[in-house]
Amino acid sequence: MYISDFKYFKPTSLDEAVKTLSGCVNGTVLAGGTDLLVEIKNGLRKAGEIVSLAKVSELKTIYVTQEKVEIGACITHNELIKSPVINEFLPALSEAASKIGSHQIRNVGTVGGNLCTGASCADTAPVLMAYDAVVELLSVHGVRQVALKNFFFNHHKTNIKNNEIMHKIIVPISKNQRTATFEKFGLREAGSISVVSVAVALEFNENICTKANVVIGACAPTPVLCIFAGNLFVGKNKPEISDDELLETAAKAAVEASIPIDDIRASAEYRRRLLYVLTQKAAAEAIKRANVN
Amino acid sequence: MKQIININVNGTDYELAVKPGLTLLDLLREELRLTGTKKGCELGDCGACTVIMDGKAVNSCLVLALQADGSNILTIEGLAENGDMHPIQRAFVEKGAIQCGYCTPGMVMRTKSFLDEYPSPTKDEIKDALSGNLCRCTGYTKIIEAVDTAVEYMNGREPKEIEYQPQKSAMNLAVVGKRLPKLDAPDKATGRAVYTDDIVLPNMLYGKLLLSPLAHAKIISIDTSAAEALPGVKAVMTGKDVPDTTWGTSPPRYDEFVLAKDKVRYVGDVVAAVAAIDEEICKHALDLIKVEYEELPAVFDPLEAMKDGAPRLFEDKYDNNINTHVDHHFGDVEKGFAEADVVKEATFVGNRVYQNPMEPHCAIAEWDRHGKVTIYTSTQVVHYVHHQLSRILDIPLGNIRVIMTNCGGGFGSKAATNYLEILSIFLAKKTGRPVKMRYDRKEMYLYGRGRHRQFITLKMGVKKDGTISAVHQKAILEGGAYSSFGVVSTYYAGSMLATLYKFQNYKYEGFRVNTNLPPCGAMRGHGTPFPRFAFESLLSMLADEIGMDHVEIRLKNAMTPDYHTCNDLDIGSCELKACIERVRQLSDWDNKKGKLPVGRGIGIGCGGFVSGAGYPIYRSQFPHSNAIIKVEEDGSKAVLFIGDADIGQGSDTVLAQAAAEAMGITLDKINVVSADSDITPLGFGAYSSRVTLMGGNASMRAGDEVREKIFPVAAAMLGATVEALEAKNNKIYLKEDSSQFIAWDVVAKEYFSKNGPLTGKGHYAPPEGLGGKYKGAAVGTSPAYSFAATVCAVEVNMETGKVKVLNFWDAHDCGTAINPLAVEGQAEGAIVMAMSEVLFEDEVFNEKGEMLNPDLHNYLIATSADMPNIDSSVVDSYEPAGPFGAKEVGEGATLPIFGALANAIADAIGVRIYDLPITPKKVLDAINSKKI
Repeated sequence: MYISDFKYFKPTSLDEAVKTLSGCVNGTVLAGGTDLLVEIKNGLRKAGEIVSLAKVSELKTIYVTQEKVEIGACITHNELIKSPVINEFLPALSEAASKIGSHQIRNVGTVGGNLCTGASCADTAPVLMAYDAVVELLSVHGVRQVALKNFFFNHHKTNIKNNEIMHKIIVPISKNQRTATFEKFGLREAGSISVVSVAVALEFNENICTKANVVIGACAPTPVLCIFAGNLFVGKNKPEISDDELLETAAKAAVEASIPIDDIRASAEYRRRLLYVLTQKAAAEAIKRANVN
Repeated sequence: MKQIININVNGTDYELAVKPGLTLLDLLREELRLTGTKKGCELGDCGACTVIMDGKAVNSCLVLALQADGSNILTIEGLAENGDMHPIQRAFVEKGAIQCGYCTPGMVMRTKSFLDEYPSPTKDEIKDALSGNLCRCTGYTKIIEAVDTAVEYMNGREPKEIEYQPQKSAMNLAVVGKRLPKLDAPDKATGRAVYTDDIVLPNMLYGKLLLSPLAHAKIISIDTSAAEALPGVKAVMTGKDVPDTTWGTSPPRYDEFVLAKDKVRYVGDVVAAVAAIDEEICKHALDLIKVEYEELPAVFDPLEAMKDGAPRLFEDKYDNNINTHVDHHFGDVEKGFAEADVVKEATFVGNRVYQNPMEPHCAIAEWDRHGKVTIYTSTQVVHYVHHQLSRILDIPLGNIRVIMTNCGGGFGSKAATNYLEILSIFLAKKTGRPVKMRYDRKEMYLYGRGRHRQFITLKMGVKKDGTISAVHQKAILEGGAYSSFGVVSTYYAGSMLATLYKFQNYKYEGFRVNTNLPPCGAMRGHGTPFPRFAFESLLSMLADEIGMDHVEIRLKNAMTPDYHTCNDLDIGSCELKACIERVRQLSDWDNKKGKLPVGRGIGIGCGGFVSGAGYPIYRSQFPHSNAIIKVEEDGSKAVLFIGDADIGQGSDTVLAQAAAEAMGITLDKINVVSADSDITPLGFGAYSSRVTLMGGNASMRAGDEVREKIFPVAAAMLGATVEALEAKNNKIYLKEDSSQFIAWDVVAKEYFSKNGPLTGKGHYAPPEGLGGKYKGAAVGTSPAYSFAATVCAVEVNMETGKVKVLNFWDAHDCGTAINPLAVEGQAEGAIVMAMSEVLFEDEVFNEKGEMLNPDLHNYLIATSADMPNIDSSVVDSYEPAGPFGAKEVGEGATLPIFGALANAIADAIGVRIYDLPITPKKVLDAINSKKI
């Protein structure tokens, strides 16, 4: 296997990075490279120019205020797992990151890369969507923010343009109590792609569920926010949403929202069944956490 | 254009100009020649290339050299300080955590980064931490132990010694029967061991193959002109440039061309070969070769392929694509079934799995100016490569030198000649330069030779007391496009059912059918695992029907020593009953079977294999294994020259132990030179689990000869008779009074001074006339047979169908374990490999015959995180035909697992799954089928 020659740029600031990218004819941004280099080696992608983000320090910070957590797009999965900020405010993101690839992959692969690859099975996507994340995209023409739920168009097709770089992922911090969970089903215990994944985030105000996001992964061309499923929880109190029947109904709604395919890992039908089980499990766990806190 | 980087590797600063596309892995291996870091998959799935970059473990195949600019890199070569092994390396050596050694550097580096961060991990944390580093040999068990031990060393503690109770047959032996680290382990732990791809010869070219994109097509024309015109290309060869000789593995079925002559028969068939100054140019050249094909209808399902009118792969042979047909009938099955109280029949399906050794195949060929070619290769079988090359090239064996380098695992995938070996020679001849060829992971799958997919309809009858009265097996083996080992696989699938249990009435109908898919061949347990899976499953089903315990029905029918089977195989030593009793006790079977909650299950399976095939692959009268020992003139060391191949299983060490025991010296006094056709005497190599028994006998006999030569000298020096002497632990002494002794080296030196070179030679051939007289009677014959029993416990998630294997308890009759540490390693590795086959592995093809998962990303093999608890042991046994009573374990250990695991799952969910792999979906479907 080999990688064809390309022009290599190594900007040292975000400003320089977007300018460099805008000057490229067939430019690609290189973050961790764990997806990009595999695609190039497999002949699925060609890059005339590669703009490495390795030296762009603005992309490697995690910043927290009272309202939000801002995660630099080039934060690696292992950095997410170890970050005290993430573990305090977005623990389910840390859990999701810990289930990606292998330790070696997690040392290099980045959260921004995970999102920009645009795979429906990306493990950080459902949980960040559940957390109402917004991504900030930058180009020479300016900055724009896109809600993550609107970021994914299709399998490997996202809202990011060729001349844009993902700067950061912005996750609001709720004033209410918020709990979230991530459940993943892989075919072996480690290093496996999600066959189905589910993230659930619940917010409570005075014991009443005020917001509920149920997001499913690997069950459609993109991760899907299952609005009907979430709405079932809203307005109910903690004992009410712990009801098994409600969980089953929500799981059915998640299955309704899915458009799974048959592929090498599973059949569509089996995915639906898994989704039904995993949704209940994820929601139950989120509720359990809410009851503990 | 090249760019400058500054990088520190193992403490040394480098300023280097690199091509943008160069990976850190290739920078280390090809530019800095630090070849300890291994290339396994190139896509970040296997972890063999793990290095530590700025304190973090990374897959160096997924890091550009340019990305590493300014960083500090630590590789396996930088770990040992001042020549002393790092405690992790030491622990890996001592604990037997290294077999083929190909995953070792990556595994060690990952362990280093992990322990730097977590100095006192739990076992589960270790399993999780290493789960990005795949190992195909060890089953991870000894690796986890080694990490535990390394923790002790690094915290300044001495690890606990493992208490090992020697077998009775090894009680009085000094070297044999000892748990000793492998001789090659320190080199493998430190990255020094040289594998074929680590070698670069001066002026060397690289070669690549053009593979067919179509499953079945006529070749109308090939235009190579554009490829030949590409700068850097030195040779392009197609079918017209190579002899018309066909080649293969089994002489009755030599049906492969060196390069396709008229048609291609599967996606991956070899159409053309290119040599150029680097691999990238090779690949560009391959793109420029224009092949015009006329596509033909293809067939992928063996059941379809057998039908009249199905597309034919070979017009001139194999009617109905039936490549091999076996029809055996021993005793009288109709009578047997009539005598049975219960008769049951079921159809089982075995999956198409691939050996996946961690090291990809590689070969380097170089011609000298005297018409002699030298080939370095990663092979299990130097002699068969030697023989086949001699046939194809039409030159005598003496003009070909086959050198086996270190081999990063085989499991059957390297048990025959391959295209790289042949075509590197042709390309080297044409260019006058050395040529290296290597497969990438995808090309390995396409070359194939993995386990045959099998459709097995098994019918068995038992009496009320559990006695098996008749067995009828019909097996259809999906062969892929060519024969490979397939004739033998088909016979093995039948013959080996008769070695574990006693029954007199047996009918076997075997069909091997060609399909337009990669050829299937010999994989660990050769042809036998799926019939054994079917048999062990059906036996347990029958036990349920007659209300008998699964252990009891096995004990009732279990093989006993010195038995002549219905298909004329002669069983010698046999402790199967002891194995069954052992696992029954270890697993607490009697308190668990039938008493576990829903979702938990326990199952038993038995297995066993030949200790070397009774007959060679092609007809010859040569002894199967041969050894020469040469003792240094000062007597300080002996060198064992042996043709058999250490592919990681540890045969160099085991054979050295046998030779050392025979001579009376310790293991540190012996060196081994193996598997080099110019230097070592003929050995058939590592297949059919033959090396311990056959190579061991040859080595022991060579050692005996040395001892017999020096005893008269010692007798004279001690003033005693030869008969009064014994040799052990580097001393020759009087049996009656061991205080009267003389040092072994003194005697050896004295011998040399008076007589010239002190040498010994030994050879081994199986007894003549093994087996019956019927067609195919040779397959299944062996000087000895191994036996094993396994109990497996599982937990099944009843909502998702996912199976978690909790425990394997297994016991082996391998005769005397020459090296119990190596035996445990074989058993643990076999267990995890077979578990992986049952639960995860499956080659998947689309409707065009293209493989959809030719990588380690979508073709899943077990990781350390999937590893169950394994409790493996050997029972007391002595095999008279084996060296010091030894026989095989490496393949036999695979066989019980399929049935044990399938039975455990059936026990857990109350429904049986008949086709492998047993995926979560199938389990859930089965659970749901029961609900309705």
